[in-house]
Amino acid sequence: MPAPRTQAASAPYVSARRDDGDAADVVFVLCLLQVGFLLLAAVGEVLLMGGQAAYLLVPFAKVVLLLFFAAKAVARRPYALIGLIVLQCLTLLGFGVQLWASLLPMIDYTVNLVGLLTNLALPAAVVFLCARLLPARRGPAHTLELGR
Amino acid sequence: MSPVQTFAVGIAPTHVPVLIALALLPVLVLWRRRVRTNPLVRLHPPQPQPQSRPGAVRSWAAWLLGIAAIVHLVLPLGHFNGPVLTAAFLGAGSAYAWLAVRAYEGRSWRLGSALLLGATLVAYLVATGGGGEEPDQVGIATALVELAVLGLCLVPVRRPGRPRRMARLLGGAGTVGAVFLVGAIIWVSSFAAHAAADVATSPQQAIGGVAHISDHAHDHAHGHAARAQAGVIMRPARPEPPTIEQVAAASELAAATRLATARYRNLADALAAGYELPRPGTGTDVHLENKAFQKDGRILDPQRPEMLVYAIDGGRATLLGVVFVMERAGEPGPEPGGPITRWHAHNICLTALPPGFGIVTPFGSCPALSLSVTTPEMMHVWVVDSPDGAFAEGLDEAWVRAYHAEHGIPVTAR
Repeated sequence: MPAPRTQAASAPYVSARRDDGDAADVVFVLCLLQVGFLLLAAVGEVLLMGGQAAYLLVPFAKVVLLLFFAAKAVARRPYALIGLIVLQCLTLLGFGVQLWASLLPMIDYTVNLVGLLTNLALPAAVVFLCARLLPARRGPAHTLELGR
Repeated sequence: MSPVQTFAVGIAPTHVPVLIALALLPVLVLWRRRVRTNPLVRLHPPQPQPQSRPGAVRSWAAWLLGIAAIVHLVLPLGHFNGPVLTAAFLGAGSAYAWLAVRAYEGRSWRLGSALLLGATLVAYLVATGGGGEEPDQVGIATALVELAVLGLCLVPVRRPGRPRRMARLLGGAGTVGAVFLVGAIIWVSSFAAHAAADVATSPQQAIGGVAHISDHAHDHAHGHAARAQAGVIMRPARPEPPTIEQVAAASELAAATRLATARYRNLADALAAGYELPRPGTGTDVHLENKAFQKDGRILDPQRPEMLVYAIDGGRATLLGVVFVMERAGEPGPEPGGPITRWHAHNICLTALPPGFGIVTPFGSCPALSLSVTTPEMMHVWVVDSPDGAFAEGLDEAWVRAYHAEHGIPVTAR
């Protein structure tokens, strides 16, 4: 009989400290990690392609979008949360396309621990956290503070 | 290689206990929850329910610090490099565990965590950059976890009415900078380890390796497996040195390739045989592909190498070597010379806007709007007497320039 858990779930749920932060702060940091990954990959490509700055344009645009949405998500803007979900879903879609493309004879896809973390787990975590923040935005005021 | 093999190659054998411990973590957590909530199997008297639960930032920090603690506490099991290093691992692991508890309980954790994270990240980068350890997937994943906690430490949470924009800006910039710096150093370290693996790859040098099987450089060269998987993918290295027969087979392959490709010394002859010059078509390692040879069903045939490598500059060309390429990605190439004739593949990023390609970073990432793909296995055989040997992954650029200046053939001559 899991009674204790039921009691805990129904009890008022308050955060002990003001600087605890909520899911939006975690989303912000996860997006910063993605920005770092993107910049590293973009600089690597520019170096390989003979220093052509044109290869920075698309990564830079994604970096700006990520930072903008992440900053606005911390301020609980629903459009930013939705924007982040869309961006992360595109990343997850790209992961799926890569797996599908690896069925072609001339190319393969390297599955490794870090790749799974950054291309699958991290975007999925951001989608999960943003999705949980979305209904919290429409909920009562106290759940807004605690929305996790 | 199958995806499972590729995944396994990325894990250094010394880090397998860490991976097992982390895989067991969810099981332990579920078991603990079950024990806590099921009165039939309850081991302890019921505890009073906590009045508060940690916020998301503290909760994530506690979990990630806990993971870092497990990694450092388990590392000595596969990584015994003396009492000092073992004590350092155990000390760091204990400190991470202490900080995880502090974060969970709502006590101050940021400053201590930031200092410890900085110290362990620097120690890891020094170890990999100094050649003490080849970056592998567990090491990079641990660095990733530590970077995530570092971000949680550096970026202050936003409070209503007190946005702390400047502090958040600086914290954010610090986090992005740390990710970039750590990734760049790991990347450079992995390439340096790969370049070092070119030592003792020529049959002549390998003969020395057979005679001196304890030679460290030789062991290091053939133990290299590009476990960072950031641009280069290799199969697991064989621990034993090449046999006399394998050295002879490698020498034979190098000689046969040199003889068969003599007809391509003149670039015009290679073009006439179906090799295609890429754009811009100049440089010290210009790869000319022959698409017909790539689909002819012949593997490791010195008469029909899939690519030729030239130095082309100043209106002159020098044939440097060939690249044998497997037809299908994921298929292992034959190794007549054992560890001397090692194949490798590349994981690259194909970019759409603008069309181009990059290399997958140690974090497994590619630029936006690009696909990460892995090429079929390939092997270089150099037909010039370079100091790097016939089976090196690449040649020293300065040496190539000097050789090209002396031996280059005018491109228009036949």
